[in-house]
Amino acid sequence: MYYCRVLEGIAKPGQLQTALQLAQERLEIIKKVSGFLFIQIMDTGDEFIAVSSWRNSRDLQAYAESDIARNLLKDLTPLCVAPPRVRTYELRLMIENDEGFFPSDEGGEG
Amino acid sequence: MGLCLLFASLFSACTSSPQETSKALMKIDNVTLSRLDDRTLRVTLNYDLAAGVKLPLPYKSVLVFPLEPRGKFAGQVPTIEFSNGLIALDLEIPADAGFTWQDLTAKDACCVVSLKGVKDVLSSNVPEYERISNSVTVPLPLSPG
Repeated sequence: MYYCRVLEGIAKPGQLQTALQLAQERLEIIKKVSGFLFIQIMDTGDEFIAVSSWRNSRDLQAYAESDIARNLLKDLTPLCVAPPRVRTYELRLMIENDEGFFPSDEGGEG
Repeated sequence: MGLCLLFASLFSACTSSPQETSKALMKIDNVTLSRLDDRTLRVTLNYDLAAGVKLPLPYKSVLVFPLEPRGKFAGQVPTIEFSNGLIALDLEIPADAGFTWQDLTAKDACCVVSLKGVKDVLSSNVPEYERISNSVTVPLPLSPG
């Protein structure tokens, strides 16, 4: 069963792009963490949500207890009107269309 | 708005219970206090559960007391789901909290930060607290702006 970590924040006025940029920079590290599957980041107005999905609860726990997760939350906090809220969920249902959500690897080099 | 204030329920004038006990369930460090405005205090700290401590913790809730000993004031921390991590929350200090920032400038009046568990006391309406972390002394946060 997959697990998700949801981070919700409200950026201070004018800080949304900085917050998103910060998250994007950390993704290069996060995506190398064992068990990481994918992440979705979305925003509306000054609010943003990052949903990362993990192969199992042990992988999510290892990430959540890592300096990577701690530092991301610590560094996002000053950019937000309140500290971001983080929760974890067990993924109950995931459906994609027949073509698949992600583009398939068409067998090119690399 | 105020996303995190939703779970940062506030407890003002939380006087220490005579029956307050202590258990070393976790270590806290890197504690910071900052005043966002005259009534809002931001608290951040790292926590690390002691070896062998199992989750969930056996308390109705866990409170952070950021302004002791003079400032009898606490905020509820989010549910602790992992053995270590960062706690960051904004606490709104009520106008009737029973102290002013000026009071906290007195020698040794502030700021000894610790976490306490609220015990489930069936036979009494008086909450009992159990200190569950070490105490960290930090400087009184500067006035905003």
